[in-house]
Amino acid sequence: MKRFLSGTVALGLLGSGIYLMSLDERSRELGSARISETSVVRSQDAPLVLSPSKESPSTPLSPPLSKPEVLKPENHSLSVAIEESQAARRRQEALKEAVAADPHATPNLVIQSGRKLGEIAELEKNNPELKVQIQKFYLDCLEDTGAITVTRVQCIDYYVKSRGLTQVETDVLIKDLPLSIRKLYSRYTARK
Amino acid sequence: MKPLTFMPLLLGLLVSCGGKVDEESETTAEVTYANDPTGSESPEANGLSLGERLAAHFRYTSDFAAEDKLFLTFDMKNLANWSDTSRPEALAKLGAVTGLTTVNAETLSQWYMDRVTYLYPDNSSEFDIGLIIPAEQGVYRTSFSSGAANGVAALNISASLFQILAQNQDQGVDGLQFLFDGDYLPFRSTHEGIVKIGPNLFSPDDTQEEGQQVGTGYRLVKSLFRLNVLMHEARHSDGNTAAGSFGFAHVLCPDDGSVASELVGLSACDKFANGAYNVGGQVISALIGICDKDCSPADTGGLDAARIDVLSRILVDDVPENYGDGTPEAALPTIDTSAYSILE
Repeated sequence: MKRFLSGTVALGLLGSGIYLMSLDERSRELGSARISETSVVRSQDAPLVLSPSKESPSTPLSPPLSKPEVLKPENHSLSVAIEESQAARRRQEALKEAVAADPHATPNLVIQSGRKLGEIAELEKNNPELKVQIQKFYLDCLEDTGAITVTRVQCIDYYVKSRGLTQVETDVLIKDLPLSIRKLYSRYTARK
Repeated sequence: MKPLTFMPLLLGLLVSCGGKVDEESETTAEVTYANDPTGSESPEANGLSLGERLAAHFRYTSDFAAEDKLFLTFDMKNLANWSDTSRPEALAKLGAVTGLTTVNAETLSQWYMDRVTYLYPDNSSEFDIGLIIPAEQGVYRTSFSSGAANGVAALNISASLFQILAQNQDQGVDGLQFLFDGDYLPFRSTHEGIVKIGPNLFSPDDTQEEGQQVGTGYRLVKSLFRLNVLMHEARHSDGNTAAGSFGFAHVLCPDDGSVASELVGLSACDKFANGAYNVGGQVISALIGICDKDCSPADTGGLDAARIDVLSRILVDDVPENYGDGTPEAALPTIDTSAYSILE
């Protein structure tokens, strides 16, 4: 079970699959916590006030789950995808070794990490109810100092698009990130 | 035959990829589209289609793996069939960094063929050459360590060969030959385009077959990735010493906070905005239309990662003022060595 998200507390069986529920989901189910869609709390407890999401400006994030012990398959898929993405992005040392051995080409691990993000973006597209969880994942990713730089930049891009952030809001989002990441994000978005 | 005293000088020479150039001087020279000094075929040559000309252009050594050759043939077919014009900004940018005034499958393919011709498998770091010494009416057969065979994706050694020649001219070496499939061929320009293809250009999940795990999209993604690397290597055939752009060699990534920490201290950055990394990245951006129909979000996520990675390696802003001079060194005259003796 450790391969799933940290904070996973409840599980149930559905068919042949095992579905897990994260602490956040459990909290929502119990009605003890609601995540405001109009603000995002950064991991270092520095509040980042952003404008409401364009998609659903004032609605609650997601309704309490009616069956707390069983998650829908897409949630299970998201848990797996997030775990795989976290594993794929936390490979700084392997990346250094790969670049040192071959500076000519983008190491495959960078591409694979990008692919994992793409899978999560597809889940978001197909399951709007997962949007907030996925946005939180993007935030964790872009602030993950153990993650490879390229992936962090991609996470900024996915997050900004998911939230529909303005340039000013984006500047606030990334202002405390390392120069190399801010610079690369700026360069990347200028090209698109 | 006595060994030549200059042989130790051959060690540690610049290799186009992975070579180190410490100076950070930049040029403001305009990009010049360099025509092949050895005289390449014209786009309309022989009445062949572009795909046929691409297939006929490259010369693979006989020990080049058949499967790898199939992958490269697939890549060239994708390049030849590329017709997407829906990304004008990307096309303009690719044109800027390559020096092409018009960017399409025809011109980009020709740009590539002008710079790459001979393809070797990267199965040895030794590369056999002949140093032509007219004063002795002889050709000194030797080899040099190309720095390859370390699991690289690809390695253009044309600039290294040119530098070997340049560094030994004061010792009577006026020409150079390179061994290709048992024959020593004249080396006259970096645009001879001698490239080693290494195992990292491919990955275990590459396949010619489509299946549940590897769909068309993923095959196209991998093809675009390889095209980016191949075009990257092609850029290493360009540049000249006078402009400080010879071989568009990579430089050490500085530890000044501006570059991804994973790259710091590695010879994995470019000091020119039209260097090999940007050429490769712009190739992905311009040709990504190949992927429009078949690629999944995961596929495009992987391609975006590759694009961002190459952007992370460019030390300067992408503006013309930061472009290096792409003009190659002047082509060398052909030396008739038919009556020369072989010195070994």
